Amino acid sequence: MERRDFIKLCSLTGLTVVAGVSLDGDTAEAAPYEGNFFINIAANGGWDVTSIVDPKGNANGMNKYPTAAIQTASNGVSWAPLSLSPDLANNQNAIDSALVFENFMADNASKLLIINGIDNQTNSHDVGQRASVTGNGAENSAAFGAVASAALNPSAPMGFISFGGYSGTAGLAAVTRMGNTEVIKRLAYPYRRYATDNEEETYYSDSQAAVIAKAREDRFKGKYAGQRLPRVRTAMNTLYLSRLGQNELKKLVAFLPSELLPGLAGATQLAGAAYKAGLAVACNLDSGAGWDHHGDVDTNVANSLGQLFSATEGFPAALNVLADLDIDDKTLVTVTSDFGRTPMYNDGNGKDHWPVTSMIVAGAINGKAIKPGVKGGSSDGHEPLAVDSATGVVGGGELTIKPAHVQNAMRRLAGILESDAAKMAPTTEDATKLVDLIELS
Amino acid sequence: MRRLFRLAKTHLWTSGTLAATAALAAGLVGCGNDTEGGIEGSTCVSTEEAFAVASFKVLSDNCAECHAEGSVGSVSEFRLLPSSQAGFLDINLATVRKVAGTVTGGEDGKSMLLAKPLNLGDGVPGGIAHEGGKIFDSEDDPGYKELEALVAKLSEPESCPNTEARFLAGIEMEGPSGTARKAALVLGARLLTDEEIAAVDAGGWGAVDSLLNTLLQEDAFYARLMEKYNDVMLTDFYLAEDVDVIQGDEDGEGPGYNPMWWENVSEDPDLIKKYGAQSWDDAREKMASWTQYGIARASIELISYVAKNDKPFTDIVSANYMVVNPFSARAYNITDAKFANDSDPNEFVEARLGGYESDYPHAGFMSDPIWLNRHPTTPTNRNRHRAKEILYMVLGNDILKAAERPVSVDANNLADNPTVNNDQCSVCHKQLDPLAGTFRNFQNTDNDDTQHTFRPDFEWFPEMAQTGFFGTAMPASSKTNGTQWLGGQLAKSPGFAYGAVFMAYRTLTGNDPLQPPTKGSENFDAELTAFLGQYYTFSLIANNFRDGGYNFKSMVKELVMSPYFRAKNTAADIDPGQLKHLTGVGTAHFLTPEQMNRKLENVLGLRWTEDGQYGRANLLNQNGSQGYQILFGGIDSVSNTVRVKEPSGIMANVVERMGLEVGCNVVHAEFSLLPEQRKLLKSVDLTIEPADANGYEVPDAVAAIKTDIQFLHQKLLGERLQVTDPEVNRTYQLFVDVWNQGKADMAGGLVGSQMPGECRVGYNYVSGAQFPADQVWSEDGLYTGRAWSAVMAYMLTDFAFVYEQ
Repeated sequence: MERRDFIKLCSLTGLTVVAGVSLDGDTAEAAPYEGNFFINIAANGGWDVTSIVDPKGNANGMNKYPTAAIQTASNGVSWAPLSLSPDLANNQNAIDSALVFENFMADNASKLLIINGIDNQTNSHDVGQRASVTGNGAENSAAFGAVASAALNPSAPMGFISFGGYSGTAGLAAVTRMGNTEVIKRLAYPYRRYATDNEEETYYSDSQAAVIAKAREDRFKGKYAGQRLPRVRTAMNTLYLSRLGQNELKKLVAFLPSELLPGLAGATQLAGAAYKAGLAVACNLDSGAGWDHHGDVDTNVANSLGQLFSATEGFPAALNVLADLDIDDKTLVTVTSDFGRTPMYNDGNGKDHWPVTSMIVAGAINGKAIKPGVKGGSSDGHEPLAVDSATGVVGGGELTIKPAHVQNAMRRLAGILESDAAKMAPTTEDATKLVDLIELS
Repeated sequence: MRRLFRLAKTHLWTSGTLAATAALAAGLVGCGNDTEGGIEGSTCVSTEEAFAVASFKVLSDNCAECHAEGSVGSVSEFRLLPSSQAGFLDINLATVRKVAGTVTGGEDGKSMLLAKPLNLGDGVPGGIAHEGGKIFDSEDDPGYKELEALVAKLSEPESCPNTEARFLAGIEMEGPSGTARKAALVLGARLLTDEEIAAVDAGGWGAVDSLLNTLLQEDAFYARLMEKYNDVMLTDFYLAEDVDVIQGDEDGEGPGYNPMWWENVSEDPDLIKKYGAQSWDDAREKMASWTQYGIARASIELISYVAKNDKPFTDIVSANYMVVNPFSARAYNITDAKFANDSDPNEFVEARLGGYESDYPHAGFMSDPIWLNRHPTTPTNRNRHRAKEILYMVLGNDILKAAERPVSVDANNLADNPTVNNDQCSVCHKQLDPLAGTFRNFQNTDNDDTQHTFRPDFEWFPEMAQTGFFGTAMPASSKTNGTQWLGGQLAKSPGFAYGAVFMAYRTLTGNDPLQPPTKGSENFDAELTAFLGQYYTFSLIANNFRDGGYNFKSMVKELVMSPYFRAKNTAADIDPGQLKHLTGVGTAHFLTPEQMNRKLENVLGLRWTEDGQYGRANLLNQNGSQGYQILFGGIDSVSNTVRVKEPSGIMANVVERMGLEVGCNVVHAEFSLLPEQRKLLKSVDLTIEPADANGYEVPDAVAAIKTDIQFLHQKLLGERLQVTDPEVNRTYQLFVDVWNQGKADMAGGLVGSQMPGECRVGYNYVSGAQFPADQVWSEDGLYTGRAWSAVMAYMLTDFAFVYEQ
């Protein structure tokens, strides 16, 4: 059965098709995916963006570091001098951590796009985490990675890789976890008795394996044709489809790193290897740091920033991995969070939930770098500012930026805005708005 | 609802045994006449359904925002539960009936439900003032008309009670033998014994009832139950983490905790023997790990203990005791717990911290130090996380769903205590915060991060919403033990039964209950019907559960007998429109790593280990470089806390490798035994080839091979097939093709004549006895061992094996 026929059949019956593997099976390998790669890093917990990339300073009590010390690059990107917060004065570790971030920004702000004043319209962690990567806060919404995987390469056996963060798929794609490279090698060659040690030692020859696969497929066809319960049919689809690309997993082995780096960098190595093998389209990563700082927010944000922006294992290291893999010219990297934090400090010197957040965008699409700068913005009270309805630059309209606008922009960049997968996972905002929110250089 | 309860009793039970649901028994079709189909009955719209539709189309838009249940001190008696709470329709219907049945004063009096939203004022005939102002401009408003229709419907006697046919027409369900097999696999992670099969064949549903009683006493079900609760509670985090997180309380009010008690035990040869240890170091290691096990698992073991021992399931939140094993008892300095075997780490008994005379405020798992530590509080979180977990797990109330509606940003919103006074915050917080206050007595101290410390005099935050439970304020007398008061409230809450049914359904099927559709959904009507159908069945079961004294096993039995467990297909000619109503029917659940382990061990008698040896740890229980637990979608309760339920390419290859490795282990183990000792391959041996040297079929051999294939289909896949069935022939052809190619490859020198070394099982897998090394066979010169291994791999990787369907 050809992939398109199968998908069409499933569509006609109103069932979800789990894309993510080739339907051509052993006989016709899908062409390796060579399109763009998408990585989202989730700063789970809701970060205080006024201590990061939407700085306000102490002028009206929003922050404790001096407003006058806020740093701004020539492209308008600003960042918080959190290391100057008096709360950090006796905590050298926190100061050092804040400086890790500040130094990164000093070196890299010219390459980043910052979208400020995104109104996530929620104070709920679950909803915010969903909304920030789906553009739709409803339960079971599809994350961008799932939509991209389904739209760009439904035959990729591990199209959507997740190391954390919201990874709902709405049935569009299967989620793949990755981990120990030795285990992955074993799984890439399930018929090999000893993984890669001895390629000749297999349980069965390729032709015998094909006999088993053929019997399995014939049985599936018969059982599937006789089954009508939607839930069972969907489950049968899922298993069938997950298997058809299993031979392609072998390609991954050649790209696996010999030694894994720690943290985000290591996860990026694995995901990057899957992409290089033509198997992956998108990946979700967890920042690894906590951001739900209801208490001692300045100190805690500083520590989390130190982790996220660590040169050895954090966001910068992940960017270096992409460069080393020579895929930085077609990888879009975003950093999102559930929401922001309240404008004022609470009794515990922390900040509570606040719908307005920011997003960091880096990387390139189709060889063209993201146009750096600032889109959107927030008031001194950290309320979202109205933006131009096309560009997202503050002023000139009544529209405020919502996560759905961002998702629409990313889908447009990825070339999947009008795809069937995107239509099956609608966002909540008009896609004709903010069409230039994320631009290329 | 009482009427529905009686109907359910009639429907599901007869004379104390499970009836074959006479209304369902029409139209027996399928293999062995073990399929039931053709649910019959009225399909008219009941009052309950009419109310449900009105709830989503009228009440939610016009009433629910102000009349939301939850806040303590609300003056209106008209309070509606949100759809995020399990059982909301039953409870709201009772509320609305009461309001609709109340008539305003005067000759022109009208239903309060119709008078209030017009806000005509007290002086107008039939009118009454409405604090929320005018909702409808006139009686001609379409919304008002719908309200009028609802009031009229509510005032009439029920002429059309709900039936399953209204929602589930056209489905086919497992009959007695199919239900028995599925229940054995799901509840017991095992196959039916020959005796049980015979009993069900002879006794039908009555025998199924007895079987369920047996299965619900077996450990496998409780392992599964605890896994499902741990998916939410995540207390297994402390199986690997330092349980020293619980500190002895310096004020002497804590449990007097010493998890390292075993360090002070003097070396004792009797203890080495008693604990089955190899050495004193090994014995100490066992004492340490068993202590940690008992401490970490106290919450979920309590749930298992309550269910298994037929205690009211409400004990999980209201029990004035905890459970300990012999080793955690030592850690908690509990000396009055009685064990049947004080060297068994899996024996958990009731105990109280500080002994039975103590005043530690036990409240089921809610007062367990580990659960409290796993769900910590902070000076600003103020126990809200704990309250959220209780709402979800105990009441089936996903409070975060109430937060799905967009909130708007307004700097002024933050003024004057927004969680109480700002509607956008209070939509959740008015349910959450009163509950959070009941955990006031379990706080961290100023000196450490200990989360369980019992602080009876802790001063709660005055700016928080008044402590209480869905409109009932906690009395001042409970200020020193608020969690116990909460336990009592939860135990008598209508939502408790629904929450338990939801968790049981998740345990049995791996699926979440259907959620009400989102307003504006493209398929709203179909989704609503699907939701209402499942809601209707679960309501019946929840009501029976409550009225029957919260017996968990009885409730599970009803779930097993329901269409939501037994459905396996639909009639071939079912209306496609009806299919859209059946999205919540059936199970089709990809096995978790734990379930796959149990199935392999109980169905085959083997573990999937690195080298096929039984004593080694299961590969699906391990991570790192050794195992597949996380890659296979499992959780570690630490960093991976959400299961992946749909197989990816990687997961499919885990299954593939399992099939190959376990498949050849099973075949080797089988052929290590005499035919009469074997479990699966009883008609063949390694010398039975389907064709002779000239390529001619050997009829007797073919028959023997097919007989065993037929048996494998029944045992492993639950298919009772004739030996001439195409599926048997397909599997046979697989055997022949693999065998032919294998023999050719052997002849060509491409492969050797021996079974792979890792396939060899060096012990009698039935008796457990070790074989002498020189008696472990390896020669497979006719390639039949490997051909059978291929058959086994084919079956162990089949949908029917790796899914519960």
